[in-house]
Parts: sequence; C-alpha cells; structure tokens
Amino acid sequence: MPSETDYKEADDKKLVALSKEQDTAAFEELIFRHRDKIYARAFSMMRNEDEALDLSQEAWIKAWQRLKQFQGDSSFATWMTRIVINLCLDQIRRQKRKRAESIEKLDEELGGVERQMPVVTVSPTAGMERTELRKRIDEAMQKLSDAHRTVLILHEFEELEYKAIAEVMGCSIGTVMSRLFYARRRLASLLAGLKREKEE
Amino acid sequence: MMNEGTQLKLLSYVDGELPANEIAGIESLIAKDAEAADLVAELRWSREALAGGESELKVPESREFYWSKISRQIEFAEKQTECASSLSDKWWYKMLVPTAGLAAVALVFTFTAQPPVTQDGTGTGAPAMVEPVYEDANVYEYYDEQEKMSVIWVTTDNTSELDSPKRDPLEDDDKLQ
Repeated sequence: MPSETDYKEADDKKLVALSKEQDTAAFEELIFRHRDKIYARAFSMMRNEDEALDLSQEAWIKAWQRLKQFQGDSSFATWMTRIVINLCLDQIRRQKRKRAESIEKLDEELGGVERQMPVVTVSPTAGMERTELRKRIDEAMQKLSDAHRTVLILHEFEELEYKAIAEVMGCSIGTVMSRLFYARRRLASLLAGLKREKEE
Repeated sequence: MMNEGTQLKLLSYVDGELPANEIAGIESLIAKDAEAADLVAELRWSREALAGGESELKVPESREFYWSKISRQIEFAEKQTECASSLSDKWWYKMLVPTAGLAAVALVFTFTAQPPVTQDGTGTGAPAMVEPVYEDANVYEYYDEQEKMSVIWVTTDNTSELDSPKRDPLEDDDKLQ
C-alpha cells in the first residue's frame, strides 16, 4: 500500500492505475487534483452553484465506475471533463424538455438577431485587466442561451473542433457553426454593452 | 449584407477550419470588403477574449467533506451492484423472472377470456353477443352462453345507411336561414 506521500508524488497515470485496482486513496488524490476544474466546467455550463456541485460529484462517481474504460488516449483531466460536460448536457436537455425553448430555436432558424447586428469594430476588452476581463465574460456568458454557452465552452475552453463538438452535442456540424457564429456575435455585443454601462 | 454561407466561411477561416481550397477566395473577399474584414476582426477578438477569460472557480467545500460525499455514494452504488449480482447468481432468482412472466401472461389470458358474470352469479353474462360478421352483407352472429352455441343469420332487408339517400350537410343550415 503506497503512503500518503507516494500518492502526492505519483502522476495521474499511476493514480489511475491504482484506482483501477480499487485503491480509493489514489482516486481521492485524483479528485483533489482536478476537482476545481471539473466544478468550474460544470458551473460554466449550468450557471448554478448547487447544480454544478451535484453534477461534478456525479461525474466523479461515474468516473470511478467507468475507470476500466479509460484507456489513456487522452489525459485523465480531459476524460473527466468530457464526463462532466455530458452530464451537464443531459441535465440541460432534461430542463429544456420541461420549459419549451421555442424562442431560441426560432431565432436560430430565422438567423437570429445576431445576423443583423452591427459589427463591433473596437474591441471592448482592449486594455482590460485579466480579472476584470474574466468578470465581464462571466456576466456575458450568463446572458447567453444554454446552446450558445455550451458551444462556446466546448470550442474556446475545451478547444474542440467543430466535428468533435457536433459529436458531443449530438447535432450537425452546420448547427455547431451556426451556433458558434451567433454566440460569438452575441458575446461581442454583450461585452460592448457592458463596457458602455461601465463608462456611463 | 452578406449571406449566412459567407458569414460561416469567415468563421471557419478565423477558426482555421476552412478547407484549403477556399482560403484564397475568402482572403480576397476580406481584402476588398470592409464589412467582411470587420466581421473577421470581431470574431477574432471575441475568440481571443474567451481564450483567457474562464473564471477560476474553486469547489466551495473542504477536501474531506467533498470526498466523503463521493465515497459514500460510491459505496452505496457498489453495495447495490453487489446485491443485484448476488441475487442474479441464485438459481431460484434466475427462474423467478421467466416464471413471473408466464404467470402474468396466464393472468391476463384468464381475465380476458372469462365471460362476464351476471348479478345472480350464474356466470352466463350473455350480454346479447350479437355482432355483424360482415357489416356490408347484413350477416349477424349471436352466441348464447347458456346454450353454448352460435347462431348466424342473414337479413333480407338490403337497405342500409349506405344505401339511403345522401343528406346535404348544408340542408339544416339552409333551413336556418
């Protein structure tokens, strides 16, 4: 049985191997290392602390149960992030079924207001400090629809390509591109609006 | 105003996902069209802003508490799996599912095949089970529970609803006017 120090010094690969042999202490160390990132991803998608906490915990439980399926093709953190994203998407779909999101669909079908929006020519984030930028982006992300926020997270934060996003979201590449386009335009407009509000 | 196809091509150009054979065309469009150039600039900076803009959040619970909740649920799930697998290993449990299925089918059959019971409890219901066998041919079948026999007869009256003169659906409306 490895000591506490061994766990701390072991790399993810080693900890995963130990966890696969039902070593819960190794798994606890993995959780400790990646829990903030997994929670942050869940929060980015759900915009709700309680839901993010529940879903991140559910993700860890799923990971433990499916550890044998993890072949190490990607990093453990990437694999974990996919699990939590899928759980969040399922949750969003369940919530969507409850409240009809016809407006968002209609917007996308018709091209949305973003198509007609004037282009923001001056970067509203220029010269902004990192903390301030994060705060502004956080506020703007909160105002986006679930579909637009998700596609931005997967493309910009997870750095997935259109095809991979389409697979994760269960839609066509065309839909991904369309959502990404409107999401970026909306974000630009929201950030410009936030900048104006601050200046006034 | 640009069409959606061109807008999406500009997006994939910014994201480096535009097919190689289309890059030259899009670059020449950006060079001569100010609207396209502005849109590309906007898409670019919104992407760059996001690249470093994710909030750094921390789990609002201590390591011990967070882990204790997860480990409890893992244990619970494992116990359930163990319980289910130990049950499914038992020979009687393996027999239980098909037996229960058969019993359910038998029950359904018994209740649906049972003749309706009359109030005096004779069990002969016989709610005049008269039904047309072939609606168009005026052939009727009658089954008598007491006599345990079926009677089939054909009526000589050939008039039916289908043969009766059609009524003008607007007739009543006309009368109202």
